[in-house]
Amino acid sequence: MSPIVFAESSFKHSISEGDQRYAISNPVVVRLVEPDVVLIIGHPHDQTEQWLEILVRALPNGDKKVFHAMQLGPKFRPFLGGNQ
Amino acid sequence: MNSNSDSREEQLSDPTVPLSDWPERPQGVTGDAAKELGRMLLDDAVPASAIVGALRRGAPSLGASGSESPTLRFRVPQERVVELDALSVKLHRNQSDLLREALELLLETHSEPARDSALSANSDAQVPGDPLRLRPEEARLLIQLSERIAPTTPHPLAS
Repeated sequence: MSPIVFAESSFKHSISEGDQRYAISNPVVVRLVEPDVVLIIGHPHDQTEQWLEILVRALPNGDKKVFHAMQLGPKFRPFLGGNQ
Repeated sequence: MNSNSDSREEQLSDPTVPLSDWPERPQGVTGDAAKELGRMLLDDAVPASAIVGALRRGAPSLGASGSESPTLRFRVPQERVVELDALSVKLHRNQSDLLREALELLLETHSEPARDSALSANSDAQVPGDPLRLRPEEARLLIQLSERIAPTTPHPLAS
């Protein structure tokens, strides 16, 4: 089994696990930002125009580690492109 | 977890630290392909390597040129979504396919050749010899009016 795990650091910006899961299951953009790190951009729920940026590391054992979640900032906003 | 990984995660998370230069960074995935990857991320049965592999391959292009396929996003009334859901189930086709077809039809309807064709068809329906290029119903009305005014003189359009 290769579960997704939410690291303590993913809650640093007070984004709940539920909001992170919603954004991951309804992503607007998914792309690799490093060879083993996936960026997900999506909404925290369906009643908002707010965007989240979520980073997930692909671990060697197959697990998926969410280590970052926060409101979309200028660093990753360019990856949203025309999808907003 | 080693400290090297922790350090990389901290740098990636820091909005003030720019991304590392990676010229071969694959294009992003959007639309249904993105949702499928999201589903895979949350599925315990799918290893992370499968997701990374899919992202390296990228989503197949929808265009003939093989270029990136942009995603359109817009709001619609809830009842339209319900109707689209029902149509999707009825036709066994996903919603993206149906909306792409709708867009094709819209663009085809408003394309220049289609408009020219419509005008041509309209001109075929006009009464021959009509210098005003009236539509048939307009010509008939004009004939009726002229017959009321001068019932003994046949109107040229009546022939």
